[in-house]
Amino acid sequence: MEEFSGILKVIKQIRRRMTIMEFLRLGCFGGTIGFLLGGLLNFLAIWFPIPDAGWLGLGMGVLGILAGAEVTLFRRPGLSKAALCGDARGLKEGLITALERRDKQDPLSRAQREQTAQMLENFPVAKKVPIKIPYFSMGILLTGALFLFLCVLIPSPAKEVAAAEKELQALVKEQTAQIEELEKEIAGMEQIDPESQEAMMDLLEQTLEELRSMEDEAGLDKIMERLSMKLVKEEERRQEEYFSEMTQMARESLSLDESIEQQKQSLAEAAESQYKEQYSESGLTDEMKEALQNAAESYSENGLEGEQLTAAAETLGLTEEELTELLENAQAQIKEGGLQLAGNNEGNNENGNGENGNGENGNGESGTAQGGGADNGSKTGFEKTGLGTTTQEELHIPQREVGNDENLTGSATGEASYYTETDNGLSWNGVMKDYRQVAGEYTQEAYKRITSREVPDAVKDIVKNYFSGLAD
Amino acid sequence: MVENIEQIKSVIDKVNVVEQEIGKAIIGQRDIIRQLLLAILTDGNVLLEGVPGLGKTQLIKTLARVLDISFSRIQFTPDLMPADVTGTNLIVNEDGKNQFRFAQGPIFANIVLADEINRATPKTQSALLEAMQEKTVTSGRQTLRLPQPFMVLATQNPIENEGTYPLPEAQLDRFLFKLHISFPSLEELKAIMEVTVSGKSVDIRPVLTGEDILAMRRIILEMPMAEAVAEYALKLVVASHPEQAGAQPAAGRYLQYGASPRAAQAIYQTSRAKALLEGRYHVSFEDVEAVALPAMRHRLVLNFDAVSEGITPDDIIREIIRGVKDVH
Repeated sequence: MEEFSGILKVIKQIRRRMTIMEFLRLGCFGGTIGFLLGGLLNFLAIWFPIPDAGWLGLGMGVLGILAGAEVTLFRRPGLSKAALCGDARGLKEGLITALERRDKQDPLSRAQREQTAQMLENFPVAKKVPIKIPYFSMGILLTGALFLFLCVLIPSPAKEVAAAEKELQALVKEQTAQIEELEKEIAGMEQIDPESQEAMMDLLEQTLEELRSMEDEAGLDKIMERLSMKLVKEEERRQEEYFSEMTQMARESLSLDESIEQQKQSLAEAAESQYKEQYSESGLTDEMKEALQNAAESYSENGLEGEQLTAAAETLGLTEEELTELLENAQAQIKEGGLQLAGNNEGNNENGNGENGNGENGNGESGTAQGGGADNGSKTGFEKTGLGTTTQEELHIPQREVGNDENLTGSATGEASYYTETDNGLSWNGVMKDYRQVAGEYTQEAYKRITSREVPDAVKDIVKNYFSGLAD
Repeated sequence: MVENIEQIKSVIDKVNVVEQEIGKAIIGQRDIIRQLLLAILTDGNVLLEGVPGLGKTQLIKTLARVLDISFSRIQFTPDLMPADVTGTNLIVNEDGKNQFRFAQGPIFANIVLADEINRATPKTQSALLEAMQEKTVTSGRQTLRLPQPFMVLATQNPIENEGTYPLPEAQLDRFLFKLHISFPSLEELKAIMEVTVSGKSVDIRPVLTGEDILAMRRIILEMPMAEAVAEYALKLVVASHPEQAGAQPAAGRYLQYGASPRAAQAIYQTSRAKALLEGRYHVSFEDVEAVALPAMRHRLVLNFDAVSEGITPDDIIREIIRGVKDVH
């Protein structure tokens, strides 16, 4: 079998050389096809915008060569074919016979192998089976490549358009990646409530859809601008919601709404008083009282609107100007008479150093830090007409101690304030409070609230800014 | 079964000596001598065709002298009867009783020269059929085996048609080879003159025995032959059949019938023998191509186009070889 190993070695050498030649042939063929197609593509790219046409053409050429190499692997000649190839070079079918009868041990087969091995001693494989370079095929291949590069080098407007489109696509890809990254981040943020997350995701998905259907760079700018605006609006909306929630919370906490209602009531009462003095000494009907009440409420909220003013004026038998003047006078009277909201802190109470808030023995209904009612230090202090028995009790307000409800509701050791009990309930006789003190208390309370709840930092900043603005 | 390679080499050497011995009496015709030997070594009959005076009969007689085996010559004539070839039953008086006894004819020899075989009637020609194929002779109820090795070497003259009977296809198919004896070159003719006219005697000694021939036949049967080469031989035969898918255009155009399977057998065996006589232990495509002509030429039946255009079987076979080689 030793002689056959030598024979097999020669056969394999022949096969290797055949494979190389096949690779050169098929590689040139595939490369030529690839480069010609690539050249054709770039030729078309002179008139039609085709992104990356040059690289595509080059890729097609390389792909063609690789395809040729791939096919070579599949078409790699077998040992029999290699043996026949060697036999055709003067071995007179000695190789193929030896290969087929390699396992036979009869004298003739052994003699045949020995004889073939001897023949191979004078069989230079490299010379007998030379690797022939396919110069013609390679020439065609190079021609195809040259055609491709020439087409690539020819400048044209279509190529510029294609380049611009490519840049645009890169931008879109980059923006898309960023948006998708942002979506992942938002999805992972637990501090954002699901509703906000969903809103943001919808917004980003819309933007992605727009990006996919975008046609030019201006469109990209517009899309991103729209996204920016939507985000700002969403941010504002969310901030408003949080701020609204905070203010609602503060109003609930500090009974601001009640104070406003009280203010409206005071204005209505003052207006009634004015109306009686000026236009009806005999008294007011319920209808007129209701009209004044509505006018006062409307005036307190937004100023009188046309229809409301007309309706109230008709009921009261006044002109619109008269009614407006009446209400302004009533408002002025309240201010002059010290009838003011504690939240305004604009009172001119001579005893105005009293602490704000209800005392322990104060009005249980209000339970807020807002003082209401007439200023007992003012000679022009407002008193509701027609009130019932009036009693006054001392109310002790602590010295600017804030931070908990007990302090806000006052203590028995502070300076005294007074309230008047009327038929309609309690009415403060006026406690003069320092504006900064009240603002400080409100601020502290707001801070406490926003730190005790899960509130986004942005909203916290808004609340803080608001209350710090009050202090200024 | 071949015992060892030395035995093979010994027989090959003897065959080469046979060629040399024949070469003493027969000038030129190297290829014919080689092909004749191939037929002898592969148990085949040979039809030699040539114009008169080319030494066909002389060649066979010389061969018979070189081979140390029995030889008989039958001159085929129109009045030759089958019994004149095979033998006949004679009434013999033995022990006072007359009884038939078979008297063997001239066919009972190792080498039978059927000289000018086409001059006998088809009836007589047919007397050779059994002997050529089965190597037996049947007379009445008796079948007798012919001596081994047995071969018929026949000659015929292609240019004389009058008084001749063309061999039937079945008869032709039984010849392994049909050899064309060509006219010798000037040099060869000069050498022939020196031998034949000068009165010099040629000393020819027998070299190869019947046993040697039979041994050689066994060796040839075991001779390695690659599948591709064997397939090539078969394709040649198939390509000669106009109706076959692998038929070559020349066959389709000029042949009525292609070569029989005996042609494939002949190519197989003689190509092996040729390789062996050349000292190779494997058969090449060239060996197949070399024996394709003598093995196929008498087995092709030309159509009218070929005859009218003067196309010979050899032309068609060469075309077939060329066509099959390109495809192969």
